[in-house]
Amino acid sequence: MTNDQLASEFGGDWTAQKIFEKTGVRSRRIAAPDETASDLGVAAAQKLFESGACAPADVDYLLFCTQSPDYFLPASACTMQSRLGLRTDAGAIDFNQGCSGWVYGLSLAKSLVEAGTADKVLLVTGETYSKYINARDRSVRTIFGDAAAATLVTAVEADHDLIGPFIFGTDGRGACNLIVPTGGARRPATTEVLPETTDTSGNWRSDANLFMNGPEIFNFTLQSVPRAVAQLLAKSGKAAGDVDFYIFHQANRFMLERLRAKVGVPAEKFWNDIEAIGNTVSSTIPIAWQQAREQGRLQSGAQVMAVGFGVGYSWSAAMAQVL
Amino acid sequence: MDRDVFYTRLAAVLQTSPEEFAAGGRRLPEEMDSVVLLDIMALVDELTGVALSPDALKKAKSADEILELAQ
Repeated sequence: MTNDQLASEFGGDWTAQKIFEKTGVRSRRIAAPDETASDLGVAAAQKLFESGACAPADVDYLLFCTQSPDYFLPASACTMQSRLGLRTDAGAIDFNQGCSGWVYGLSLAKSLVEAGTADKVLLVTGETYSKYINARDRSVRTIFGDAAAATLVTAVEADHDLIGPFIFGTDGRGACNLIVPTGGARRPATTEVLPETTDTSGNWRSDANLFMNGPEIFNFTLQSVPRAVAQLLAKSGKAAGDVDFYIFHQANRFMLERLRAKVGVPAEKFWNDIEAIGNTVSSTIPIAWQQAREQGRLQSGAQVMAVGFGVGYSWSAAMAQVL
Repeated sequence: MDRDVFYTRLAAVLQTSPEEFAAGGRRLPEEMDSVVLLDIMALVDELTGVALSPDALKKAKSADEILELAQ
């Protein structure tokens, strides 16, 4: 879905260029009506297997991070186990987390490996927020894209930790600022067509749609992310200059540029690019990591700081070294 | 912080000239949409280091009231 397509739908003063200037996104991928987050996750995992990283039979545990599950039950990870051909003695669970999800998953995977519970953990993040978004809500439709990513976490010989330390944060008071109000047990889905209302910015939505209070999310981010970065540096005993590359959750270019300046990271050490795919929620960090590697911006041995933040409110940050 | 820089850049966010903004007492619009709010929040954060609450910002009636909030 390109900005030109969106601009022609929105009309008025919403040009393709204005959408790009406000979001940093030129196009985003939208799942087909019958395509779910687990479908995207299976495709991502299959690409990982095809890369030679490991075979399906090698996976001891599947972690699937999504807020767009196929069903209330069973877990999407269970259906993915059979579709991917993982062993039946492999563990498989979903966990519900958004923009902080990949870092959370990395910590869970590392813990499973360190505890000796699993040798190889397949961490899959997948999201299809497009299915929750009202077509007339420019505030979110311009930003979010559907995607999945697959990451293999496994033990390797090393004289120091390659992953970690981690820090986490949660403030549930912000839950109402990024939410799909209905469809869960609190407010079950209904066969009625819910009324659509408009906000002061002219965006339309119903309670079955994704709602994002952009200014409140921005305020939360400006406060929590610099603090998280400082906490992680302190916990790891490193100075900002010891970090070779910073990959924050790719929320939107505008927000990331402000965060980069606030944290004081030079542009060449900071990833800020969602031009082609938009904000893909829990997949932004692994996708950015892969893109940075492909562009030669992540060299072997580089120390990376990854920071996830958003829906919940939830945030998390981790150090990780490039193999 | 240089107040004139703030006034000039705030005028740009509000899509008016610094002169017109000053002539109008640097008053803010009655209602600001989320795009404008975000731009003002980013500007205040950049110039003062303060992350303003959107609710507080919505109640500000002038550029100077924004600066008071940021102190």
